[in-house]
Amino acid sequence: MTVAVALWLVLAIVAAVAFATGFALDASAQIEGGSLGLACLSIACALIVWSRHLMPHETVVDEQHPKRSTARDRGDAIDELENGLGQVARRPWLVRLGIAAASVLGIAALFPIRTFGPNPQGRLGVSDWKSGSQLVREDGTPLRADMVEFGSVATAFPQGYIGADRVAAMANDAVVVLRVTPQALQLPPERRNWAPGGYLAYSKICTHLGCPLGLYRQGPQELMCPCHQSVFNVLDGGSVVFGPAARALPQLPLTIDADGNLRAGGGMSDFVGPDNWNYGA
Amino acid sequence: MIRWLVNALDDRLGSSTFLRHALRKAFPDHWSFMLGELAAYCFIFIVATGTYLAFFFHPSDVPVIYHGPIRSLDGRSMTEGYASVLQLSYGPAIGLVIRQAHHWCADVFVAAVVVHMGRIFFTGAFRRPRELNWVIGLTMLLLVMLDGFTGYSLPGDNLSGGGLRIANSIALSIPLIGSWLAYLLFGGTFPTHDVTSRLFPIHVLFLPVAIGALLGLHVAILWHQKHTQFPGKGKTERNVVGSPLFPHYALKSLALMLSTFGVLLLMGGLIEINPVWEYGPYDPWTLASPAQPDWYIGWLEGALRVAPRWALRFPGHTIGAPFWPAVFMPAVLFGLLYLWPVIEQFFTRDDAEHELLQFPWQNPARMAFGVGILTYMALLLGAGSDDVQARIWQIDVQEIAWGYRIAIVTLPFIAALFAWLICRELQRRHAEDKPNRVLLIRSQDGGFEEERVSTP
Repeated sequence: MTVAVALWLVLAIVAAVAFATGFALDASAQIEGGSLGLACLSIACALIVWSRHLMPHETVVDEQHPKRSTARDRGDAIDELENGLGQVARRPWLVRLGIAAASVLGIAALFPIRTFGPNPQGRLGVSDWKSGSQLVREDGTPLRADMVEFGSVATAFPQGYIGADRVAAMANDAVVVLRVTPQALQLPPERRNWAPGGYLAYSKICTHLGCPLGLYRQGPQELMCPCHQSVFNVLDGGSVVFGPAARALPQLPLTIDADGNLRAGGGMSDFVGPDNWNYGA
Repeated sequence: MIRWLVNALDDRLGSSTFLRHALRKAFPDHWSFMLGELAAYCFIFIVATGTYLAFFFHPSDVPVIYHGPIRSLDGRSMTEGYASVLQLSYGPAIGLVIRQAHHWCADVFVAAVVVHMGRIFFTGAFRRPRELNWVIGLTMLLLVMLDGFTGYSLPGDNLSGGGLRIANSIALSIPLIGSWLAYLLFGGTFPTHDVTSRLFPIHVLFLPVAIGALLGLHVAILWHQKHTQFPGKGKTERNVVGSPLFPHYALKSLALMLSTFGVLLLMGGLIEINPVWEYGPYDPWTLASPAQPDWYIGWLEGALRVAPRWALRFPGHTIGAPFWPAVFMPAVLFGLLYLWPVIEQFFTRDDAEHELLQFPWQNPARMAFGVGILTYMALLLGAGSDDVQARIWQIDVQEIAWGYRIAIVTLPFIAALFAWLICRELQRRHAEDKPNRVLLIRSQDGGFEEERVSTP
């Protein structure tokens, strides 16, 4: 067994040297991680064999006692605390004032938290879509109706609200544009004119937890969220077909202008993104 | 040399009284007692590798244009933080080894804590006088999971950005404070430019320091209370039998530490994890499928997937549906686990101090509860990857989700019942196996009488 321990330790030296050499030669992650790990494991093996076979196995017995102190110590501790508190309590109105001062200070100290972020009122779920907003792609080029094929989806933003410095706005404005046969549409009567020629636009932000709706299932005409598999029907105004989302997708009414560009025919039908405390029934 | 060192310390600290006993402290010889140590060694490893990573990571969401060895990302706009992770991963190979070992360590760390707590739970090690350490341990589990989440959310890749947006939306679903909470956490409408710079101090300072402090307290209490032990020959409620800390147990423990480091470094070198360059920078309007969190968040992901659509709408206000699976359910679940020592004490009326452990079958009700909870969590974890299973088995994901929904409300109870029945059966068999002692009583007139004495 002495030999076994020695062999493991030699292996550890070899592995460590291999790591150093590999590092100097800029070897791959596999070689560097492998040799370093092997060095650690070899020393571990040496120690295990050593402690198991080369060491007399001793057994020690510790005494175990109930954890409580003597009754006297307990009594003394309680007395000390009560005496101390009693000395303080002799001035009750000062105690009350002290508690009041600490409370006010505690509340005042919470005020800087306000600098962590703005008031959500009026900001949550707001998108930049207005009647007449032109639909543009991520790179700013206009999205024309003839660019949207049956069975494919395009992502669009309102013109004037894109760019690297507007990522937060884009994250909420994104809509998915798709085209279906107009006869298949089952939109509510008041949305009759929202999908000219079968062109439809819905908020791309899932109403469950705000993931972008990435999956379009052409057969059943559904949009599916890759995060928690909520499924929305695109034909009837974005109703929830399956999954944990509790609210229909907001729809963006579309119009097609004289040049064939897609434009918003109004604002979003509902606030965008997940449900939150600031919106209600 | 040793003499000098011990004397020098003792002159100043009087440390030899402690040292003399400490070196001979008894450590019970059972493999399951090393699970907690495994977790502690993971903590050391993750702090060491994390410090290395922090030297190179730039916690910044400032957009930069990437130019580097990754062709597919050349010229892409990304955060400075993401670019620094790419640079670290594609620089000298050791950077990638350490990054991957750090990530693997997080996964192993949580697993070690969970299995360790399983041992504590099923053997009743949390009973009086060790309720405090149960509470501290459970708190550490929560902090470690949170530290894991903040860690894999740091790089600014598309997957982590998507995960953070989910976290933001979960915050939004909380009644009364939700909207404010989300805005104060992230500094405005998600995604802001403050995400990474806020996560970073939480991940590398606040949470590790909290975990380290609790770990110190945990070990100090353990040291003071001494170990529990399984019942056996020579083991009683009044002693601890085991190997001496020095040198026997110290060598074993050192070997465990080096094994942990070794395996994690091997994994870091050989098994790819979280290849952020494949996901691309965070782009809030695209997300590839399947999107999966690390395993210890999987149960929450599963809960979000299979939960019912219980959004409560009032005039002007809504409690979002995610509140129930992502906030309410975990609060109830961990609340139950926190209170378990008290709950068990209430039902068993047993508030004696216990130094001897129980074998799991000795407490059928506890076993049933534990097996039920574990089954529930395992099913949620499974539901968290139902889309992947749908792809592998070529089944519609909705059917799998329904399968999980039904399983989640039935199987935990069935598993608990079976666990309870098996424990009762084992109890019965152990009672039969015990040889009944026979007491022979010789009466005054010379006759003998037998009296059966059943052993406990």
